[in-house]
Amino acid sequence: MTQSPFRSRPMALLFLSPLILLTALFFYWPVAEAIRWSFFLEQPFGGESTFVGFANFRRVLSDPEFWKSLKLTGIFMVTASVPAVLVPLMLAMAADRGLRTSRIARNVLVWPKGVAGASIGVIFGFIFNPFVGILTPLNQLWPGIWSPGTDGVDAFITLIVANLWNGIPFNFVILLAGLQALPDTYAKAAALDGAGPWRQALDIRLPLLAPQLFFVLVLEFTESIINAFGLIDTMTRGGPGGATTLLVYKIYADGFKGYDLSGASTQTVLLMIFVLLIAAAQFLLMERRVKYER
Amino acid sequence: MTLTLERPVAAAAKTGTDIRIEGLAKTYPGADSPVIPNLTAHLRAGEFTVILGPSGCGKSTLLNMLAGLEAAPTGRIVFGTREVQALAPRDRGCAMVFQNYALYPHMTVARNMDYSLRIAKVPRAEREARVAEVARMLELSALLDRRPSQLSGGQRQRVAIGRAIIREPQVLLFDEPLSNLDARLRNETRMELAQLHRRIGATSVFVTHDQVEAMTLADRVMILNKGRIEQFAPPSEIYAAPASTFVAGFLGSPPMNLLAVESRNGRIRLPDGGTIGCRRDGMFQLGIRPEHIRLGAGAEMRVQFREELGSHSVIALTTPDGARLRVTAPPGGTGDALRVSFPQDALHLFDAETGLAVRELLIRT
Amino acid sequence: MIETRTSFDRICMGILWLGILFILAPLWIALMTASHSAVDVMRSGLAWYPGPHLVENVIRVFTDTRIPVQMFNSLVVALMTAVGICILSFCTAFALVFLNLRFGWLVFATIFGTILLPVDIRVVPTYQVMSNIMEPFAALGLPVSQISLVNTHIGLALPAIAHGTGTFMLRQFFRTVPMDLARAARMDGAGALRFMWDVLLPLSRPALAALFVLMFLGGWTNYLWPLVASSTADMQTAVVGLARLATDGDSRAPDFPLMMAAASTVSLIPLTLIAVLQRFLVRGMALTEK
Repeated sequence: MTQSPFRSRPMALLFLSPLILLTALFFYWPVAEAIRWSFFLEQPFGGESTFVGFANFRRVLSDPEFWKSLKLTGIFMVTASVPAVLVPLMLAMAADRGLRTSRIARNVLVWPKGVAGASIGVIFGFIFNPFVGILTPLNQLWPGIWSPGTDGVDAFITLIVANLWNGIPFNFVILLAGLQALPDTYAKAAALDGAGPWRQALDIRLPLLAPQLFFVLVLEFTESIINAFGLIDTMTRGGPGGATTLLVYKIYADGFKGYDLSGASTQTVLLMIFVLLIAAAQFLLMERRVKYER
Repeated sequence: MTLTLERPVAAAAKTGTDIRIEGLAKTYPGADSPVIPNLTAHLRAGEFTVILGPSGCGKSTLLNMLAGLEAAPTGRIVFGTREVQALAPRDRGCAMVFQNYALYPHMTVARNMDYSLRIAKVPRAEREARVAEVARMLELSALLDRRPSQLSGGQRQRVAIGRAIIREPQVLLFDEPLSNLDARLRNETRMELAQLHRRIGATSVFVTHDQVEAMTLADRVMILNKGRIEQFAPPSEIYAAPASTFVAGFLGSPPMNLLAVESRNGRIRLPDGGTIGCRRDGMFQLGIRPEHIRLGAGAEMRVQFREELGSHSVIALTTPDGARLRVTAPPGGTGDALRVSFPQDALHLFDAETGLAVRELLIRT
Repeated sequence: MIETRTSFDRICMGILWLGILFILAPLWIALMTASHSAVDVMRSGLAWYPGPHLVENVIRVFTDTRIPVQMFNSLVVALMTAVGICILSFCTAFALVFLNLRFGWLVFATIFGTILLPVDIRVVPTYQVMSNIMEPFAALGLPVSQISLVNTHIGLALPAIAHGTGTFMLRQFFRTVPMDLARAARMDGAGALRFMWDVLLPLSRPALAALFVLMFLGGWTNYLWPLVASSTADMQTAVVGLARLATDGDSRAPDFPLMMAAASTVSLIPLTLIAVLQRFLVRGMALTEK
């Protein structure tokens, strides 16, 4: 790339400092504080904090509740992300056909971007309500078959469906943009090679879409556990019996309802490490397999 | 398009200044070797200089340093009597025409052209007069309110030129302005540029990697290789007497044949069977242009392949030593072998080690 | 298209219609339920057809709940977030792309790092910092008094502004702007500021509009941070208020039509925005992935 003809250190400093200052104050400082507090025992109602070394970590890591919630977080990451990528993928491949329906679809499918996770949580909470909701007839035939209030699996399903609803716009737009950026010479070549639309979709378009799929999946992994909070807080409140207490929700409950600052900070540090590890692992595993020279 | 000029444009009344480049050097941070090690040259006032070279030869860096877009940390650049290497672009009195036009897409043609005048706080009346004048000269008067996206490629090119000459620059710089045009438009614009230069009289520096542009536009061509001047001479001289194997191989289509030869006891054996005297013994590169090789007499050589170009054909032969030799021939020939001979006055000689021309070593009889 | 209509196309059409249905059904049910009385809903479940009580239920949202003032809060916070991000990331991305910084990559990495760990993951320490933003300066030994931004509009918006996505998006966009435009401006005598104002800003208008829409929607739909950073109902955002409405009435029988009317009301502004500024939104999202 050609070099820019401008150079002004004072101006650069002026332009960069506001955002750097803000990220320092509201990102790096909190991250650092979380790490610091994880080594201190903080009194719930003020007072001196004392350095306790790894005691907080020992306490958290020996707590079965933590491991359960970490496991649930992992399960949710996978079970929620996979449909939240696959369904938009199918929709994007369908919309890329340039049918009349795809015009409507491309409009409607981004609407959920304007509906907060918590809002759709309220709505889905009502729709999946076992007594007045959409599945009530099922319960009349087989009493108790649908009960997100008492059955952890049912509660998990409601979260996954709501998360899918919320995740469609972004993933759909990215994947569709990726498909539309593919030069149509590939489709022409494949057609001349005798590939029908099914084969083209599976052999040509899907593999060439790999970079976007990878990108969407990486984001969705983090996005799902964040978006989950609004859904959990409005639909299941971590229940039944802790079956949907993901780590984000547990940290919130411990920190803001249990006033356990040290415990919440320690778990925050562990969650941050978890998220970074997942991101790093995805990059290491998939990065080199999805790059194509065009 | 023809350029019609009712009265001389203000710009045309002026002549450019000469440009002296002295000891210019540049190394990019982190690079092992300099892009330009040490360059000295004198560009005469009003001259059209084409800087020609392969990519990475430093020609764009040199142009940017002349323009002031890149710092020139070592050496001096003098426009006329002013030392400019430390000045900002706008204080140097030079303008540039860019590759891909680089027109501001959100501004009208008029706005694109007078933007520099606005920045220089030229009064409105004068701005309008100058825009009108340049627009008339470039036949853009009807297009002044359009945006670049509403123009054809040729029109955009003219706006880009208009933007450059409206400031009446003493030095006009061209950064490969033709390289992304299609072939037909490139030919047209090339001719326009040549006419324009004659009218405006600004000292022009034109960077390109296209030898046809260099040969047709330039008063003198500066051939750069790895930041060094290989030759700086009029096109005819560069063709007739290339200063090095680099120049010989870079210019001409097809380029000059270069054959490794040895001079023993004051004679060089030529591939056509003859010999020529040489004042020094040792290894040399013998050069001969394909179009100067005479057909029908001399040594017989096997034909590798022919390329028919309509007006003539290019034939690749194999010399007795196994080297490849290209000759141009009338179109439509056939046969597996050709007899060729090398006229003595068409021979060039280069030192095998330095690549420099040592034509004077040949003893032509 | 290369081949003619096939069964493949019919299946594609089916998939699209299913997708549209999946998106619209919850919104439709919410709206329809909002038009029935609470008693009706308790008796016959969720509603698929319009009833006579929509206006009444919406009026109840405006008179019986804090949703109106909370929607005002959402508007303020979303605007602050969007405007703040647009201005800051424009300046930052400009400096990164056009000012030739030797340590530009370091600055970029610093800002890009914020994308990896969203505020929701580090909500506990962020809250602590927000309750005394002078803490780091005090830690440096400066004589500063305690300032808490908890329960203020600016406090609700700040963590979202201190985020790298906008900078990343605009940087990607700036890198598609031909550098020759900058060189041309320089030759025309423009300085960096003049180039930014006269050339780059007009060219960036669509990208900025896209960023604005995206960040406004983000500001409106955020949940966890506004939940913890607002301590009074009058400072909560509409989404938080809606969630409290749905979850705090544990003792009484849930008033589903009121909840659905509130959910529809709260989503009205962002949904309208999406309907009108559709193409900016799509472009904005597409810009996230270079």
